Amino acid sequence: MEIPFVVTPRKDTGLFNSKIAIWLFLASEVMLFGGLFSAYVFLRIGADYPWPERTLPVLPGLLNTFILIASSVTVVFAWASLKMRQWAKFQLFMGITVACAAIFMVFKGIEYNVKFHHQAARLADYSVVEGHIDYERAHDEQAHGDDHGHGGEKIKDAMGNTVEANRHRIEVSEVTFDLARYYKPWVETMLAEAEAQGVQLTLATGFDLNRPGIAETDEDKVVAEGEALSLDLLAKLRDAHLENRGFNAKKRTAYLREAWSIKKAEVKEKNLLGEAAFASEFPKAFELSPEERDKAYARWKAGMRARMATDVSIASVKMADGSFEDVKLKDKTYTEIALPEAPAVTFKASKPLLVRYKSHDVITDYAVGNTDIALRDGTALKGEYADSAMHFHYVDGIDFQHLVMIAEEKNQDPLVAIAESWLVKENPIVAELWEKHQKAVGQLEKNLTEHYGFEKDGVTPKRVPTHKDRYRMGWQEIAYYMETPLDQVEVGEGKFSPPKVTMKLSEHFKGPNYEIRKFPHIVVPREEVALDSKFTPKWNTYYAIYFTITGLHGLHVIGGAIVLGYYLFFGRKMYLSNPEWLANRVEVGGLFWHFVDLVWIFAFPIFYLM
Amino acid sequence: MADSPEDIKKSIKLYLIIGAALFVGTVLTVMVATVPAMDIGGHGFDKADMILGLLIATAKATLVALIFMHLNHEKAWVYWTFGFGIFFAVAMVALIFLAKGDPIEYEGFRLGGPTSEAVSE
Repeated sequence: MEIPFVVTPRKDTGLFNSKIAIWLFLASEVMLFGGLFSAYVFLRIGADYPWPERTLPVLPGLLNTFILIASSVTVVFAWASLKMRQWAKFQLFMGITVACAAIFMVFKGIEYNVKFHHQAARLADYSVVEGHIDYERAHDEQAHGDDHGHGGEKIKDAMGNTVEANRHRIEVSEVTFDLARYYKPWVETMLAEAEAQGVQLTLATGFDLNRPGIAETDEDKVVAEGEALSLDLLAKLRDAHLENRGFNAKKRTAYLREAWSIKKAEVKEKNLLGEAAFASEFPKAFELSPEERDKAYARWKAGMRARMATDVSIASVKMADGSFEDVKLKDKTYTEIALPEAPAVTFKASKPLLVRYKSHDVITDYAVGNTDIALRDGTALKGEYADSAMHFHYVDGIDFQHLVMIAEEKNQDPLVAIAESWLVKENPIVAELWEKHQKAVGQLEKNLTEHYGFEKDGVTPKRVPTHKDRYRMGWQEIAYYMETPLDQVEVGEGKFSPPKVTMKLSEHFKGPNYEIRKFPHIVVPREEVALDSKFTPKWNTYYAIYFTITGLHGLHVIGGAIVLGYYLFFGRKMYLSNPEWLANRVEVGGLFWHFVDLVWIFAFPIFYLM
Repeated sequence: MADSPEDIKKSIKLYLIIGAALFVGTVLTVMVATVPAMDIGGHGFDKADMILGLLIATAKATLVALIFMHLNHEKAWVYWTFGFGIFFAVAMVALIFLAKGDPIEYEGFRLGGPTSEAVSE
């Protein structure tokens, strides 16, 4: 079958079909990204924390912009080559375009990877620590170590993995699994840890989920107290529980239907909702005006219906220990018709078992002395917290901007609030860095005033250091302060920025090179941590919208590269049979590619420069 | 329309000029943001930098749309379709700015509308 209008334009639109299609698609794309950029604006003006301005390394973003612009030019050249019937040139330019897409994604991948491995923690006083987290080590040398903070041997967990020193470490004496929700890999890890630590986990209470006379007896529904925890045992209990729950649900529905029909028949027979019943219960209502009486009658009827519903409904189905709440159902109670359920099962540890969880897997807040800990999969742990401090191997960012924002809201002096912060008070090295930073910012302020002067009032300086200059020490500043004595601290190059070390090329992409730079090592006790996260959407709304927009854009780059790559590698046959058709296809693919470039033209300044 | 081989040949130079203009625009955006001597408005990032940055970005986007995407000589159908999308995208962003001026006091909107004192006055 011949497809119409692949080369010649339609008379009504003046366009070939795929061109109309791509413009319709691009219109929807504009609205999609427009919605996401408006979400960015909303999150930014509504942020209750200092928005991270110019926080991403500019060079990778800049190179990616160049790459996309270059690819936009080459894709037009590829199309033009086809129009001029130059196949070899088309291959060359399209090849460059696809290669540009690949390089773009490699840079993006490096950028994402750095974010996924960079740790941040907001402390209880709203100061923020950023850096590289250490691993748990064999002996307590983390706080000392060599010049680069290296301590003892890295510990491996029972699964053979090294463990980052940012986990909630809990010595568990009792664990209760939610049978419908438990996460199998966590149970596997717990079993491996129990074996490695010589701990037995045994069922605290035996179960018999059979009920003779209601359903057939099944031996798989019986477990004895003291049975050892295993994935098979949990699966067996889960299956028994879910089977009984399903059985009960069906029974319940059937009995409710029956009870309702009986009740409805009774209401009809005795006219329980009729005006006569209302009159006998509220004779005074008939002294009211007809309108008010009608309203009172309607209210009474609604109340009666609700009461009747309660009469026939089942009050509760929660039965962890095999007990049931009695429910009125005709002449029977719920106990007589239902099978036992076991939504949760508890295992006891023969001695405390040390387990570790990432902070986003623990849903209860950390508190000293807290013995009840809940996990994301519904598992409840009883036990005590072991030392769960966060070991920052290299601190490469200290940010007081949020702390200052909170202090200013309370009309406190920001500098006093910083001096009182845990970081400055408890860590002499941070106090030293802060003192050096104060000196540099003082010089910066002086330079700005001297160079730009004052407003007309003669008092207000025209330019002052930004909040970020004043209250944030990024990795370049920290590296500079670590290698510079206080009396030699100078304001940064150009005199109008805080002092920074010069970045090496690789550091633009991968962040600080910890082998050649010195950074402080800080151990943050868990009770000081309010929120800890990698630089992922959990950390703040900036990273949430950054990953959403750049991630979706990245998917567009991949999608566009696949389509353009298809023309490059499989377009020869079409070129030989109908070159104009291929040219039109490339034009349409190119339009999409330009749109991908358009989105990046806005994403780059918004995320990297503002 | 520059669709005949001869016209396309002539357009090649234009495509190169536009590509170069996009490079220059990008470098300019970065310099405005990072070189102290080119810092407009107050010191560091502020509204003036934001407006200038977005203006340059819009100019670059316009060049891409007009020349690379051939919107400088397209059929009415394309303008209507794309214009429809642009209208709603702009409207969505504009709606957010309406919310910014909303007098409802909500502590999340720190840069938002009038404070509760201003409202009670």
